[in-house]
Amino acid sequence: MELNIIIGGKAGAGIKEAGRMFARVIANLGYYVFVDVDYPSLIRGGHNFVNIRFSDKKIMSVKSKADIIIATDGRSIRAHEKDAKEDTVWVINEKERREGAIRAPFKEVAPGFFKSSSVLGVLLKLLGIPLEEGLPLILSLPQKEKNESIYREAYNSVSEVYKIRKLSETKRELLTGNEAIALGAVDGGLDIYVAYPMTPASPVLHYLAKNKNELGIKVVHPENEISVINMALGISYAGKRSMVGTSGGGFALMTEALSLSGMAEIPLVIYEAQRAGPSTGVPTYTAQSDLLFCLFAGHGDFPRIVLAPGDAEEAYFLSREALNLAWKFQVPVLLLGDKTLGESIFTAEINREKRVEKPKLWNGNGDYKRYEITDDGISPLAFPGTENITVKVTSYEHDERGITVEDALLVKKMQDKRLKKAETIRNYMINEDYAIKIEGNPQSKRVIITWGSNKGVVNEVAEETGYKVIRPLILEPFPHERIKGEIERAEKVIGVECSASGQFIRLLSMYGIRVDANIKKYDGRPFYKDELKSLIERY
Amino acid sequence: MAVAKKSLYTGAEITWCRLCGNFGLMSAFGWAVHELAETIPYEKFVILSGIGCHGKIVDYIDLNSFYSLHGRAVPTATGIKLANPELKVICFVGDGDIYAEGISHLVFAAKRNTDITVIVHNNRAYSLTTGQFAPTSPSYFKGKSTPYGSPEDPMNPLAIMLSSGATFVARGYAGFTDHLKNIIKEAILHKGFSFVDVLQPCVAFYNTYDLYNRQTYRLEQTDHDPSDFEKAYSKALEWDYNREDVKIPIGIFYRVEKPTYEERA
Repeated sequence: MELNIIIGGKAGAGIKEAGRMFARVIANLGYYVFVDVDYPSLIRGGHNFVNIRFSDKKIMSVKSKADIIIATDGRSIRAHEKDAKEDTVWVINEKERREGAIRAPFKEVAPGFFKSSSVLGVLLKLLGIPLEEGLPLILSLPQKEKNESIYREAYNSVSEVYKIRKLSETKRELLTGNEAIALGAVDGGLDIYVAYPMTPASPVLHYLAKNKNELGIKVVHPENEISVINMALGISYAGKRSMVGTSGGGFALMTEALSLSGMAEIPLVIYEAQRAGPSTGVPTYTAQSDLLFCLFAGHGDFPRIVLAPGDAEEAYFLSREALNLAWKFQVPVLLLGDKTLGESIFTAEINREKRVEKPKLWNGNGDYKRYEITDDGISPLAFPGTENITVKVTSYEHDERGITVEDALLVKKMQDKRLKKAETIRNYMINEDYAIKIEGNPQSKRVIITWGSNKGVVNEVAEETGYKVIRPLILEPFPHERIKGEIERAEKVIGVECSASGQFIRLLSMYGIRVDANIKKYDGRPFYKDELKSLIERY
Repeated sequence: MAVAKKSLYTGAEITWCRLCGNFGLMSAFGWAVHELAETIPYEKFVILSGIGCHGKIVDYIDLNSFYSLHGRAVPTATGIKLANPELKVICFVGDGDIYAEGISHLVFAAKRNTDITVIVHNNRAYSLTTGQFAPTSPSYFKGKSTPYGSPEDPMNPLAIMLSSGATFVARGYAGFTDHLKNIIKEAILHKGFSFVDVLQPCVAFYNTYDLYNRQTYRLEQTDHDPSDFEKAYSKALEWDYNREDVKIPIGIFYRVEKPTYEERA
């Protein structure tokens, strides 16, 4: 049992809110749900839609063709004709006309405002879900009396088409990737989150700012991204765990200080939520085209870690892990997501657990040297304010105390120290269980290799078409030996990625991993399940 | 009870020119720290710098330090103070460093009233990069990037800081070490954002010792009231960083207490 529903309307008409409320209701009935939010970069007008798919099985993708289309305005009818099948059930605004469509009153609480209550009412009745299942959500809205009467009127205006029954008494948890990242960071010991607003990373800033008191953290929104990252480095230097969040353009502004984090060996976590570029690009749409930028950003040679979660559960886990890794190795850690991961709603099971690992700390004996040469390349940490020592960090090449040097031997010695640290990181990371995931049909000789938020759609398609899926979650240091081991006996390897130039395949080729074909999508939209399946079936 | 004086010198080789204004500024600061150490332990000080000749100061002074990027010491300092409000955080920055590359950070730190001190080594030239014009160079300054003089007039950093909400605004002169020491002490003790523009001759590219020795006068020897914003502002406008024929006030222009960013955040 599964259905795919599109709800369309003007920006600011509460379409996203309707999708969120419906997802809540259907997850309460025990179903798995995935919501892709498609909206333009504007506040009012334009065209928004949510694409919702729910199922009794675990799903994490949407289809391009909908079983139900709810068009709350005339433009939505025209916009979604291409998404309709012959048997699609259409519900349109009572003022509009379309052959075979059900007409319903999509009323607003005030002119030009949210239609979410009426949409929810219509949808629940259509699916044969009792009115009471949606009522608590309606009653939690502002102007609840008005919303309730609109909801009831809408519910009673249409007839049942489906009969969706309660699946279990267990209510499934809903989470966006961005919420998961925020919670993961907090459970990894985050003290201060610093960010300048930029879609699609801003929801992390909003969530943490709203809940900072309960979460016991501080949140700062400074003058620009350059300030953001330098502030975060100051926070880490003083001994508190910091994290920043941005998208490609903001990260571009941060790259000078990324290199500083590498040179000064200051722990830092950067959440980079990719959107369709280049430049300002298509701000509210998705892409995986900052991959090579994130792997190589920053001048000079320095170690870094790049992690790429595929869904909300992995986003939570890797965000928490990112905080610990940054402090374990005193390096910048990039958490590479995208709009699909960040803003989509997932049914996710997350058992929150605080996990803050103690970093390598100075033992308090003798003189303190911030950049002490050690066997593993990692120098013990101490923080300013510690009696009888000075803690000196610097953007210049330096000696063990942190004093500027230019002498050839000393310069090489410190480069070697950081290389040693890179080796320590590599040995640790590539042996982590989660470095690569093997999904789909693990025995198959036909392989799809992909990364990031393609997880859900690729795994579903692979299960149906009998492909094995290889997906690295650690992109730097790259677990290429393990990937090679997994494709050794493959007869066919297909790449799947959201980048016009095929950045992921280029990354693989750097390590001598070749694919037979690469399926690329770069229109700002995620892969839809039916679309990807037909593309895969061509090979 | 007297606190044992710690040696503030790291032993690093000092590479400033003989008679560089940086020496006067460093002496004034070291002197101020020793006097403040009676109440503030040495380990509570954190000094930062940007990039330029001034920046070397953090290599020379044996206190906690963060040798930051060009123009970026101020946001880094803000982060340090936010993470540990017990620390006394002082930024050494250059005029090109903070009035050009990092001006947005300076304005916003003043706007926030974050409890840090910013000391500008204002030699009114880019010196480490061998002599280009700077935001406070006079328009007749012939630098390597403006060999026929600058087509721009200098900015007035004191007026900018006052307009931005700085709660402590002062100007010192690296040639008057005792006077500068007192200003720096007051700035560090000030609760809130404190800003000190230090006129600092550069013997290599813009030697202004004669100008400042001749034209400066001390505000505390006048009836100036630093709690009066309007008076502070008009004092800030007395010298426009361009002319050589007007008197140049030095001392504390403005001082007022307001809640800090760390208290409000």
